[in-house]
Order: sequence, then C-alpha cells, then structure tokens
Amino acid sequence: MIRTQTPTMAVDGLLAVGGILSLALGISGLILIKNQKQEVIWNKRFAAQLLCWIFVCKGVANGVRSIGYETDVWRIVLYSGHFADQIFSGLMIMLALIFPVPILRTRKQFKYGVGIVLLYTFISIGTAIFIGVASPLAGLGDGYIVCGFIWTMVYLKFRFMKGLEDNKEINGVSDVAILLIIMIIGHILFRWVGMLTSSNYFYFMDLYGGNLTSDYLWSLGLASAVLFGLVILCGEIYQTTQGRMRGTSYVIFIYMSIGVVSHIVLSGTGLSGSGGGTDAGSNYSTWQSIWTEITSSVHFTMMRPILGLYIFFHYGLIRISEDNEQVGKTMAIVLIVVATSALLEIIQSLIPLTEMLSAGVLGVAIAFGIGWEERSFQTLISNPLRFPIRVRGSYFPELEFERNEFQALNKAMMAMISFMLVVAFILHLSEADPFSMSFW
Amino acid sequence: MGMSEEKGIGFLIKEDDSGRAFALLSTILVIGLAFHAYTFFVIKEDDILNKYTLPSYSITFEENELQNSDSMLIANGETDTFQLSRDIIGENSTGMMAKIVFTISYEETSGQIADPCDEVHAQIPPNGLIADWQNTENVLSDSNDNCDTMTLTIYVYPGYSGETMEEVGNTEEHWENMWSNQTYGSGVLQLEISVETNQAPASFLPGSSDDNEEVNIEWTVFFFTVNVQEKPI
Repeated sequence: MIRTQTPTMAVDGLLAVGGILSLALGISGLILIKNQKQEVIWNKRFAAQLLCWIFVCKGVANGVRSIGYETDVWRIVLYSGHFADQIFSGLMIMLALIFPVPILRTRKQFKYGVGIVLLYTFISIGTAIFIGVASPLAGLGDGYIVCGFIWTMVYLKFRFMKGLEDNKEINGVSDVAILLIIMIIGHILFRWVGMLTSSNYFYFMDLYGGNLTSDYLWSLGLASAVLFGLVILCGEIYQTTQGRMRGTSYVIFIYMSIGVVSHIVLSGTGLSGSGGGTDAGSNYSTWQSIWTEITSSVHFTMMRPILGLYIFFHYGLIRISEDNEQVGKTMAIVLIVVATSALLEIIQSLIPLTEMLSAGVLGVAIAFGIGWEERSFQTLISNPLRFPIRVRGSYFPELEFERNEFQALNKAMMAMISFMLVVAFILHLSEADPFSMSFW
Repeated sequence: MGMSEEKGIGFLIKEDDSGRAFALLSTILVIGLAFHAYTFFVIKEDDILNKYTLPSYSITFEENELQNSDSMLIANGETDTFQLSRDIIGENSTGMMAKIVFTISYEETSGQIADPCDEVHAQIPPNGLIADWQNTENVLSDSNDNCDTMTLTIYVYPGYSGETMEEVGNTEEHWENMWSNQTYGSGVLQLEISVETNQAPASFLPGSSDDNEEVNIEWTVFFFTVNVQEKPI
C-alpha cells in the first residue's frame, strides 16, 4: 500500500493573529467613530479615522503574509502585502501631519497635504507594479523619517516647554508623541545598539536584496528610527533626573533596555537572509529565533493594537457615550481575547503545552481579561485627556470640516484598498515578476 | 506673532523655542545618518553586496510510505531474524529512506485453557543498514509478555524532519545532493525476535504443550524525494 503526502501550506499563526487583532481594532474603531454623538475637534477626528485605516492596512498585510510564500498565489501575497504597507506608510505620514499638533494649519494646506501624500502613495505603488517592489521609489523607510521627525520634534517642544514642565495637558501631547513613535517603530528600537556597533542583525534587517540603493533607503529609515528613539531616551533620562518621570518614560526605558539585551542575544548573527519585524534571520539559532519572537512578534501582534486602543480612548480620539459604549466594550473584549490567544501562541511555541492545558489557560486569562476590562474601561473612557488649547492654543488651529468630508476619507480608503487587492490579483493572473522589469 | 506667520507651515519649528528643537533634531539626524551611510557603504559594503550574490533556496519534501506484513513461527527459546532491504522491498523502494517502523504483534495461539501470553523480545542490532543509529528518537528493542503490540523505529536519513527548509548560499545541485544520498538505507536491516513460551496450568496433560508462537510483523518504510527551488527574494 502506498500513500502519498504533499507538504501542506504553513500558516504563520502569530502573523495571522496580529492581522486579526489589527483588523478588529480598525473596523470596530470605524464603527465607533460613525456612531459617536459627541463633538471631537477636527484633527482628532481625522487622526482617529487615519489610525483605524492604518490598522486595517496592517491587518490586511499581516493577514495575507501569514499564508506564506510557499503557495501558488505567492504573487497575491507579495503584492497585496506590499501595497497595504505602502498605503500604511502614506497614512502614517498623513497622521503625523495633523496629530497631535497639526502641521497642516489651514484648509488649503490640508488639501495640498492630502494631495501630496496621495501622489506619493500612488507613485510608490505604481513603481512597485511597473518597475519592481525592490526599486528605490517603492521603498517604505521614508515614512519612518517623516513621521519620526515630526513626532520627535513635537515631543521635544512639549516635554521641554519652559514654565509648563508639569502641565498635565502639555505633557499629554509629548506622551502621545512618544506612544505614536513606539507604536510605529518599537520593533526597530529592539535593535538600536546594532546600528551603533555596525552589527549584521541591524544592517541586514528586512532587506529585499538585489538593489543597493533601495536597501540603503530602507536601512536609512530604520537608522532614523533609532536616532529618534535615542533622542527621546536622552530626553527622558534628563527629565527623570529632574524628578519628572512619567508613565511613557517607563515605556521608552523598557523598549531601549530590551534593545541592549537584544544586542547580547543577536550580536553573533552572521550574514543573514532576512531578519527583523516578526522574522528571525535565516541563520538564527533557536534561542535567537525565540528572542525575536518574544520581542518583535509581541510588539507587532499585541503592543501595536493595544497602544492604538489606549491612544483612541485616553486622548479622546474616539469619545464613548451611551450610543456607542457597547461597541467600545466589545472592541476591548475582542482585543483582549485575541491578544491573549497571541500570547499563548508565543508561549506554546516556547513551552510545549498540550492543547487541553492551553485551552484552560486561555479560559482563565480571558476571564481575568474581561474582569479587568469591566473595571478599567470606564476609567479609560470617562476622562479623556484634553490638549492644551487654553494654554497653547496657537498650536491647535480651528478648522471647520463637514461631516461628509470625514466620510469621504472612509470612502477613498475603501476604494483604495479594494483597488489594491484587485491589482494584486491581476498581477497574479499576469504572472508578473515583482523583482524585475521583465513584466513589461 | 502675526497671523500670516501663525498660519505658516513653519510655525511649529519656530514657536516657543525659536527653532532650537528643530535645529537639535536636524543636527542629530544628519550626524547619525552620516555614520549610518559610512557603515552601510564602507564598512559593510562587501557583506551587503555578497548578500545579493547568495541565492536562497526553498527545500521541500514529498513523502510516501510503503507498508507490508509477514509472520514468523518461532519455537520456544529460539531467536529468528527478519530481514529488510531495498532489494526485499522491491521496485517500489524509490526515493530516499527516511525511517522504518516495525509493529510486532502476537496472540496466545496454543489453544489451551488459561494459557498466559508468551514472552516475546524484539531487537534491531545497530548495524547492517546504513542509518542514523545515533538518533535519540530510535526505539531499537522492546519486549513483553502480555500480548501487547510493540513498535520499533529506526531513523535512517540523518537530519530529515519532513519540514520545509530555507537555505542560503551554495547551488541548487548542492542542496539536491545533500538530500539525495542513496547510501542511507543501503544494506540489510535485521530484526531479531525471540520467544520464551509460558506454559498453561494444564500443560502437564499429554498432547497439550505450548512450544512455539506465531509473531506478526508489519513494517512501514517512509520514503521522500526532495524538491529544491531558488527563491525569488
């Protein structure tokens, strides 16, 4: 008797869970915004929508990539993931231009800003399609420089504002700038020492390979992220010595400390095929792979959405009232349940738990999580932090936007994501080569 | 500050600190990125360029398994040997040999009332077949006297797990050769089975003795073929 088996497609569980978590946060956030009755100032309202679409894009990218490239539809996986990341990058830049402090200060500037970001996104998507995903114009690292620069400057201005160092509202702005930076580039901060020590694990991080210029531009974005992290670290060390340590100080200290430990763990890695993000490099040892999983993977799958949830509610980007309280609670519960599953997935990959035991642990964790949600949810939503409009109102220009203008953003994003998925499918049918111009 | 300045896009740069935060951040960024560029293009250039010349490969395996069974009548106190080799398996033994699993079963066949199970011992001497004899997962011997089924396992191809692998460098041929070594699985594997009969309480009666046992041997040989593909990334 002969039975034949073919290798099955491996689905990356953590990426899939991270994708679900991001999608859940993005979609439920959009529902909450749609249902909210309370007035929210224009830049917070737009920021909330942009953050939601950022998570939707990341959810799509992580979701498709969880399928892996060992499949007949690898072009769809590669292209749709790449396009989703390019839209993600454009949204990030747009977010930095209006939140927490609007750089675009008039309706005219806002229109031009949106136009330029859209053009940038379309050019990078077009370049990926017609020239190749590894070409310099299709790179993504530039998003880190623009956003990181703006948010770090906002941090420096508001954290070191003379005479207002202890003002709660002023500090709130610098806090949210730190949290946004960590949410977007936290995984790069886990490798910050490697940039200064010329280590392979930093300089080979997530390189496409094949084009030195595009690899340099990508690595440049990572390096800038490290520099912004170091500036904030120095700023927080100084403020701590002055007795002005805050909750966000702990966050940056923890991320940068993990970066030091990561250097000890990863410094021995040689020439690596990849490595970074949720991936270990192709020649990483088991311990190095595990370390990458418990740091970068946890950031990608759990910390990003949790930080997003915190920013939404604590800074009043989404206001919860009786009309949308139930959706808000459901959103928090979904996040807790999926985040707990992701955590267990990580633990299970490290310690061989039986399915029965992990189901039991999951049940207990969710029970605690939902208990926590009941107690903490009200605290989180009841007293959202206001921005210092009375003290430093000049930073926050008042602009009027119609309801349909906010809705136009949602429609545009839906059209863009649908279009990008259709293009990925067409490229798959056309058997396009993503890495060269042979498609022409 | 005039209204036109307040509306300018450079407002954030100058407000409150006359642009000191902007200047500080820009300076740090320029110095830091200059260091990064020097490291990227001078210190690590060779490594980075070498990376482009190193192809990466996806190594997948297709498995099939071949099963058959046989039985042996083994006399009390005797040890019989069952042999297995590519020649014995025959023309179906294609591909590389991954592992061999033996399932050894028997029942008490004397037909006597209350006759207890015989004692059967099975073992595979670690020679004859070229295999991964040092593999800690190997189960090379077992015995029982309660008619339970015994399973012995020998891993043949060292390092084979059946899972897809990603490798960087070398050639497609190199990786194909690495997983196409016909030496593993060559030779003759010997399975030695011995029987010690346990007599029934009424065995003293004339014509009723338990002096042999029929042992059934089912073997499964797992084969694989390798498929190496250069990855586009």
